[in-house]
Amino acid sequence: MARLHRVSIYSTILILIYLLVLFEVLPIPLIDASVAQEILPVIPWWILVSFGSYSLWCLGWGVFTFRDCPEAYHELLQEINEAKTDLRSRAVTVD
Amino acid sequence: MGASDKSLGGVMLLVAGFVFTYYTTWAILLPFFDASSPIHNYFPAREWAIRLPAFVLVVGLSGIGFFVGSTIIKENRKKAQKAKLRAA
Repeated sequence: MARLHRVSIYSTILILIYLLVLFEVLPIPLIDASVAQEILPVIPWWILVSFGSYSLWCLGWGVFTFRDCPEAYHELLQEINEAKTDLRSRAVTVD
Repeated sequence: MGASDKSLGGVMLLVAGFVFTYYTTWAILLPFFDASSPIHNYFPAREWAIRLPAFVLVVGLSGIGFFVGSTIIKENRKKAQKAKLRAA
């Protein structure tokens, strides 16, 4: 629960700051006011698009770095063969 | 198996990176440029920077809702059929 508390407190503070700046209660020091008023309404949509592209990146990275595990494949084939010969020696029909 | 995996993963990575940089430039960096600067020719009008993700969000949510709803309806129909078979 500690992590959830931390995340919710941070997000509440950030949303509060965003709303205050959006309704021109707080000023932004370094940027032109008109430019800031153009950028601010877009920020939630930008967060959504960034989240989507980050998810796509994570999926793509997972697919890109997925290993075929050839050693496990050969080891498994060998174990299958051993099991088959063992069963055949005990008079079990295999394949 | 490995090569097609890598190419698909690579395509996804490139698409994600491109979408992120294009949208960030469009939504956040463009207002800093003068209205007469040539960079504006590479991007559509800025209302679309809000309409596109809003549209995608609505379509995505409706798709999810439709899928969940149809699954629930199918399960209820199966349950009703089973109850009928048992009663009959």
